[in-house]
Amino acid sequence: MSSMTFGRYSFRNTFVHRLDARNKIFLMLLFMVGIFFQFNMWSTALIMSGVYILILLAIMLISRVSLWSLIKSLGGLWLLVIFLMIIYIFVPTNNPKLGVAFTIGTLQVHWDAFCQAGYIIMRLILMISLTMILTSTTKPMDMTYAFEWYMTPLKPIHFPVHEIAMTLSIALRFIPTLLDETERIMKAQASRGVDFNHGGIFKRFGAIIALIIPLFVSALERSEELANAMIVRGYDPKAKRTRYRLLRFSWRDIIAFLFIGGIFAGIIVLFVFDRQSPVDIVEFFFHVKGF
Amino acid sequence: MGIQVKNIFFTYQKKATNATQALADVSLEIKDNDFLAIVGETGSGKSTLAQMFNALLVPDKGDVLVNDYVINYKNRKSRKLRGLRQRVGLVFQFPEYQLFEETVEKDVAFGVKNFGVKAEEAIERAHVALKQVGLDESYFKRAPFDLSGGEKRKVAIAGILAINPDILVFDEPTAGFDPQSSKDLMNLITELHNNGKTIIIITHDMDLVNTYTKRVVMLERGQVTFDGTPNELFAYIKGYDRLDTPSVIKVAEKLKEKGMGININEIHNNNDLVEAIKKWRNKA
Amino acid sequence: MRDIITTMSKLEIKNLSFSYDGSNNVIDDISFSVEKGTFVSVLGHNGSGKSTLAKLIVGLLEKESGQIFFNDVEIDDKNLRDLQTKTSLIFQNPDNQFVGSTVEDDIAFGLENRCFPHDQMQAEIEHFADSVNMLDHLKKEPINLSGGQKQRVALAGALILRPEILILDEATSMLDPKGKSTVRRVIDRIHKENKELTIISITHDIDEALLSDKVLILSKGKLVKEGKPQDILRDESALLEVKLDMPFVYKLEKELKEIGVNSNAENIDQLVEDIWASK
Repeated sequence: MSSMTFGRYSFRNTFVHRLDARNKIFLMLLFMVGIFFQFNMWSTALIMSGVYILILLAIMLISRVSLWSLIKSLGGLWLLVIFLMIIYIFVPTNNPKLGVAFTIGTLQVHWDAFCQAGYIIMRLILMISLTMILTSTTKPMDMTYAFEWYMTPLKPIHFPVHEIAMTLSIALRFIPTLLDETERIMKAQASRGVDFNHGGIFKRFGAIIALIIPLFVSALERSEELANAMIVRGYDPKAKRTRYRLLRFSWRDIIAFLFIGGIFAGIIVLFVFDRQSPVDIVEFFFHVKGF
Repeated sequence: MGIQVKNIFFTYQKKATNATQALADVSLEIKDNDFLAIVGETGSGKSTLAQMFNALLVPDKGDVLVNDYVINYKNRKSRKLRGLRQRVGLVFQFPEYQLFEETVEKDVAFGVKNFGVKAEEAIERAHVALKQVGLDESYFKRAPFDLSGGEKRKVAIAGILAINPDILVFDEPTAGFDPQSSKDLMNLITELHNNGKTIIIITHDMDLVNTYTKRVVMLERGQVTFDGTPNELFAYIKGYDRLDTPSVIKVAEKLKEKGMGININEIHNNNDLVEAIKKWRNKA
Repeated sequence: MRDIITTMSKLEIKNLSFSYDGSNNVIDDISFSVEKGTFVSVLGHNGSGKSTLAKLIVGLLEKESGQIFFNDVEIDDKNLRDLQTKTSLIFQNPDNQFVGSTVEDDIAFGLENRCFPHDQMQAEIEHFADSVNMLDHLKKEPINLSGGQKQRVALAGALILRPEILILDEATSMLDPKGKSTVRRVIDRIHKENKELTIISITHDIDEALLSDKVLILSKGKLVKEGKPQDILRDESALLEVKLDMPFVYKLEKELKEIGVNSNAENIDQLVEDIWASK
């Protein structure tokens, strides 16, 4: 549970926290798309990577999301890193620019492979970080509202947009309650001699049954009572309703939009240049030979 | 033997910023065949303490000794501690939510079997326990989910009784019960006590404390602030509203204030009060 | 014992019956009426049908036979929704009726359903949060609230819809003493401040029932007694029959009578005076 702390919403009154959830989701996706543009020139890619990391760090600084907790929660990625390395090493590189690192039999492994693997891993980490910043600065409830807003075009084709959003928000509301309940039932069954930590598969299965059934029964009971409480307060999923919490687009959103939008535009321009006439920007600006 | 709690400390979510110290230097001795109530506000640490008695929780510091078992941080992972749960039965608040088997008898036998008793004997013990809580043969084969709330709770309590522990801990046993069901349940608990069991009741209900228990321990903010008889407790908590003084004690206190020679320590129920008033009138 | 039905009556139940399985009546031919602005306690043991009665009145369950009149209009399928907008129900379990993610969202839930204009919501929410002493906790999530606080939020969420009848289904039975007393104090104040609001409290706390205007006693789905608490809560044998205790004050009075102390007090202070005077 403690490794989950990053990415869980925590209330802070920062610029990023106060952005409209819809805008935040859109800008995050925009930035992610930007990050995934592939540049031919190594130097461009390298410099852009540096820029991305700086922007990410700036967002983290503004939103007061701690870098340390991010690094800790990325710890679980090492398996993916090794996996990617292996793939890149064994897939031969097209026109390598860098020297040979080592050879296995007839296979020549160039330094390019490592660079490419590093490049893709860096971009993955950037994307994961962005998602985590989004979830830790946006109330889960606002996310469901944003989801509902984006899905509105599907309403005419009878896609149950509102129902899904309401279900999501209630699920979010009841997660802590059900976690408490799980702990309570586990302790109650442990008092009846159930051992959740030891024993063979058969015993463990029995232990899980003793947990799942009561949990399920109580969740059903809760859902029935909740449904009653909602009906009594006049809830009708088909009816029109007003909303207490409105998502608002403010000057902050315009600033954020211009900032990320500007970066995205810059990426596009660079990308077009890069495709048409591969210019090494290091060479272009500083008149030195790149890689 | 009983239970000895020696200077225990316990904190929830130790690493989190909102770490809360639930128990701070608690020491307590509970003798065999004690009938004890642990009272205190919500969040005072009383439920935490109760979970130490059968090692569901383990103190960060200090020891809890139950019979031959030592519960402390060092041996927190010891598998031996599971055997302790056969000696100390813990009935949680609203225990009706722990039922899951297809029949009542199977559910009651479940705990017994977990401690290595053969299926046949477990069922036999389940039948005895069910009769003890007042559920006859007609209930044995019924599905627990078809029973009423009160009956379900009886089944859950039978599930602990069938394990046959020496020490029984009840967390708010009568919560949500009507007066008659509460009385029936408390009479059952008293009977268990008379048959030699050690009884520990965790409760807010001061009437219950006054009527049934011999000794009461109060926890406040994780510390034992009172240990004595129920009547001494009512004198101690007089004037603050966190715990309700039983009505009969309130009347006795008011009469005493007016100048009636009455010994509050002797008042446990209406009968005692009526007797005291009778004596006072005869004297006057 | 039955009250004469007056034209003033707001809620009137006639020969109401209900069963879950079609044969065993959980509510069995119940008739009574409740005057506008009164505080009524419905007493009964576990399983007496009290909660089912509450659900029938607010239309969560459909009656099998009998009639329900509200302001002399019979409730049928067509105007059931009108009745529902005028009744509110507070349930026993504080957790299972908290819909919103925070206190303010939960209080707003009913308003949203009624299409209440957004720009007036904030003021309305603050007013009702204040009336249950929860104004300082508007941003809190349910996991950080006590049971008593959650029930007070539920009260605010119900009252904000300005019901004419408020039903409390054992609303304090799962709370600790502190939670119980804070919720009861709020309910007392609501009753005093809203002369038009009818409150029906389903409970098995007989000492609480002593303070109400009228008491209904249910046993096995039948209405066995109805009247002023001072009249019917002194009948010990009748109460024992339905597994209920006498209120503490009455019980002590009855026991004192045997040693020659006579008192008809309604509360502890009065009783103490009477005992003292018997010297």
